Amino acid sequence: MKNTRSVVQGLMLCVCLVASFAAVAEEQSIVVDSNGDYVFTYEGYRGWQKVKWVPATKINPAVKGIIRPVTGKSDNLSYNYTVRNGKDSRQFLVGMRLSASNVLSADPRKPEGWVGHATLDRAAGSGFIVGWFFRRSGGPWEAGLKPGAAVSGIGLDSKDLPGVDKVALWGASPSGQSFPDEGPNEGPFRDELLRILDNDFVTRLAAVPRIAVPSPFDAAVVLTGLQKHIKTDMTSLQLIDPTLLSLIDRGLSQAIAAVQGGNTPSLLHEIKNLRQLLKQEHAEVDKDDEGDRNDDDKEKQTKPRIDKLAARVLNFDLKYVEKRVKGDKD
Amino acid sequence: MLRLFARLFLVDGKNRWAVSFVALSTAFGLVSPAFAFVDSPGVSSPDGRSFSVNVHEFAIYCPQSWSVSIGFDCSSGIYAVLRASTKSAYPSDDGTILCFGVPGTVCPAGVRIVTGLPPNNPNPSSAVVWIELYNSSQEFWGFGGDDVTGPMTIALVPCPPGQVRNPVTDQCEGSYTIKLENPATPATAGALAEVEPGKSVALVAQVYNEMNEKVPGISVTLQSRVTAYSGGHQHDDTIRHTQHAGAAPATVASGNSFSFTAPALAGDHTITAQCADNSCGTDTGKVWVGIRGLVNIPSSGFWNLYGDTGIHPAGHYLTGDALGKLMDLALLYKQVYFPLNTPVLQLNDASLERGGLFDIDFEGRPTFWAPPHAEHQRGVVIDIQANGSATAIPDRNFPDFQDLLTSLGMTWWPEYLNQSGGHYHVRLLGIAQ
Repeated sequence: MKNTRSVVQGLMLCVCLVASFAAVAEEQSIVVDSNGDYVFTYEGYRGWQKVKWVPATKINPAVKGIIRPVTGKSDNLSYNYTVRNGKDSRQFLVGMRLSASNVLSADPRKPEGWVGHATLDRAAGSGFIVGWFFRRSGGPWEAGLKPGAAVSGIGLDSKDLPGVDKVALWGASPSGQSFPDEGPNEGPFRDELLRILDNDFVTRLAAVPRIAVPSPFDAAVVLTGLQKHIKTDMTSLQLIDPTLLSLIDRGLSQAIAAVQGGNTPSLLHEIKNLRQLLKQEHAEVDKDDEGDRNDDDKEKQTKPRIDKLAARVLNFDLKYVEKRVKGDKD
Repeated sequence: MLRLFARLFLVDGKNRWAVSFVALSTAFGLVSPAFAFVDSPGVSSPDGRSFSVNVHEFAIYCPQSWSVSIGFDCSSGIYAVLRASTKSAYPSDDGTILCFGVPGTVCPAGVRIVTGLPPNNPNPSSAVVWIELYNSSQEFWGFGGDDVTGPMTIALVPCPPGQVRNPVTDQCEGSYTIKLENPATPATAGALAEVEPGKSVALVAQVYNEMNEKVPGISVTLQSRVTAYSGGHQHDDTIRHTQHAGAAPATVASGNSFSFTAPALAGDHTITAQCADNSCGTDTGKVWVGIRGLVNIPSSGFWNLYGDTGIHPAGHYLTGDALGKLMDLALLYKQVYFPLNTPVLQLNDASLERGGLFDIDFEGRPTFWAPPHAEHQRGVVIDIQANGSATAIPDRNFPDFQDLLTSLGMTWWPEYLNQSGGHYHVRLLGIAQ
């Protein structure tokens, strides 16, 4: 069903693109052919060009994450991902990239045949970009994770708690594709073409390091970061219903006030209430791995007011704070 | 400061005028006037400045406020019209009548025909002035002539009451002063303003009286000029000065804000403001157009720089963040992923030292100063060689290099890979600028 919807959306996008640019400049066009490849027709400084571009988006991947304490360092967390390339994918999956608020090593875990690195996110001004890709050099460009296959062993360690974010994944498009010039002349058509090329990947939601954990531990800082993440990121991703957002936001404000007032019992009470709220939406919110998203929805008569992955991540973070507060008290 | 010289015009127009002179002389039975135009060099003006006249016309190159005074004997009833053209070529049909004698009157010897060049002369350093002669019926008699004699002088017109001549500008000025001001940002390093290419800055031309009080509403003329060879461009032509210079309005009321709009090119601009009624002097302000904070890519064992040219001798500038990303890329490429049998990255154009449009000499382009060299304007883009040469990224590495770029959050545009000039156009911060 999801795939059918994607195809329909894709076709609509094609129609819209052709229609909109027919209006801007009749001759310039972006057409998606029957193979899902782009045909760009444009006017550049060397005259009119027609360029075929095979995108790296002919994949239908899934990402599962498991987060556990790093062995021997209970305060730090180990993020481990399993990436599956859907059976209906038409390309090998060759790369994945995510943004993390913190990583403990520039050399993240990677499976055999893959490489990975973490670098400062200089464009954002904070955090890190962590990327992995399958080494193809010297071999056929058609390599990597074949359709229907899965790979685990992709991972990183972080001191920060998870939030929900989009991760980018891309397939093995032919290397060496190129343009005969610098592209279309300046204008909306060029902007649209760049938007396609600059987003030559697909995205999936996953749990990634996002909520800063200060040292020494400060529950108020963590809860404030969590509150901000829910109100901004989760809301913009449309992962939470406004009515539930309001309830959770109020509960977090009360929990933060309890911390600032030194009232640990009240803090633990608020956390318990918040976790109960999440459990009402997703009964298996305490389950260890992320699982298929919203796969227990069938049992519910009403649609959950929060995405399952988002609920599990929030529950994990609240449980972590609870543990650290109790541990610190102990 | 005042430069005068004469030149002989040998153009078709003159020949036609000469024919007319003969025909009219015959028709009206005119005799040659008893005076002759001075036809010898070295005539001195009362203030000691000199000029020369050659045959019929003369060209004057002088500041626009200077005046020409011609004295001659009009006793024959011939009177003179002094025309001036803002065009530097003769003949011109936009000559302005600057002084017109009265038909039938006898001009006393030594009469002064006084004129100044047009106040809004678009080319104030150059003008052509010539004499046309008419009979008392206002019929054209001729112009100039070797047989015209009489004194010719050049002199300054006295300033109007209440004004004095500024010895620097040669302008008659009142006692007001004018100041170009930047209300938003304090001037830095002697500049009136800084603005990024393509953007605007609001400025004010403020007139003050003797009490240093603001005088609103006086019409102020503005002029903006771009400094040749500025902004990292070691090339220059009139196209830059006429089509790609910063823009300011021609006039603005004192105290009112006006906008200076920078061109897409980095460079230095000078704005000059003066009161249209000469009630004040002039003020000039420098406007620095460019991107601040760009740094030159240093030499490194992880890359090689190439591509600087005589016209753009410094084209490897980046922001600090972009340079950091470049280091990440180069380190991973050469040290981690391809430590053996692979040349270091060959880095071509990034941005000019002050950013802005990076115009290059593509084939078939009529001029500089315009795209394409898409992006490359804010220090976040660089071209990396991939042209099939021994130093370039080998095509066997293309898949991993492209995946490396994507995994680092960069975006890229492959241009004629493995062909002459082929390269990856890499947006180091994922931003197309």
